[in-house]
Amino acid sequence: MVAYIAAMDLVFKALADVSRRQLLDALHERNGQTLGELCENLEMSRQAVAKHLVLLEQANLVVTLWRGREKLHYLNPVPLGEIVDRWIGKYEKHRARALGELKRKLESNSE
Amino acid sequence: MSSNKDPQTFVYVTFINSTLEKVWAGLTQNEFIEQFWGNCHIECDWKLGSKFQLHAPGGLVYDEGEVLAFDPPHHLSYTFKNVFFNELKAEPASRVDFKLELQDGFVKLTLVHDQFPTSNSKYLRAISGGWPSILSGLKTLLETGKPLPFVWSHKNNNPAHKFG
Repeated sequence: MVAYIAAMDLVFKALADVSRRQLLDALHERNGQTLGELCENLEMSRQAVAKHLVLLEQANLVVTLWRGREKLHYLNPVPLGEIVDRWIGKYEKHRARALGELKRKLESNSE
Repeated sequence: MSSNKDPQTFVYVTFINSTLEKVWAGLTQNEFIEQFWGNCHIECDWKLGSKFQLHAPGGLVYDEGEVLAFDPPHHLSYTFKNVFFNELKAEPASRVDFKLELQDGFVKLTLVHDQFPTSNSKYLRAISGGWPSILSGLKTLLETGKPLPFVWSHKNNNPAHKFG
């Protein structure tokens, strides 16, 4: 349980920063990017992006794989899935998703 | 791999409070598999090059492949191709690769599912919904001794939406 709480702390700390959430969005948009690619669309120094990625990796939100000579960054769905499983019940999850889809459709129609 | 830039890859890393041997058994032995993989079981003699089949209840075969690596309790890999659903079975085989290692007293399970053939693989979308259900079920079973209620997809329990 102690290890579990420590792991959850890392996840919430990692998520509590707009730049790190932008990095997760960038990987959600296109998974498997290099540090260089991730820097291209963000107004941050390479060093800052690298530091944010370390925190995301420590929280297990991002996983890196070597492909040839390149280190690619991938989203790991596990920690966010554990948050959802813990606080949102199986049936509520389906309803919440349906309502989220409805909101998105209504908002995209009004533009 | 034709390109180093590879968005067509599903990666899943989870930490399981168990032993390497138990997690290995969970991935390869049907007495465990049947409890977390939607009542499916695997038919395979786990020799290199052997045929791998994922059987659904009622004798249906959902997926097939061939064993690429069998190195207990650290490395398991097989090709994976759907042979059941019309919208998925047109795609050629992809690759499933499990690595197990000990880290801080936990088993770190790393799944990399890759080598999807197209830039817009329906199979990749399907497995991206399926593996989290399957592997969170494995983790729960090994940590608590009890299986999770299994849901193939967020839509319903219709097997046509398997992995959906």
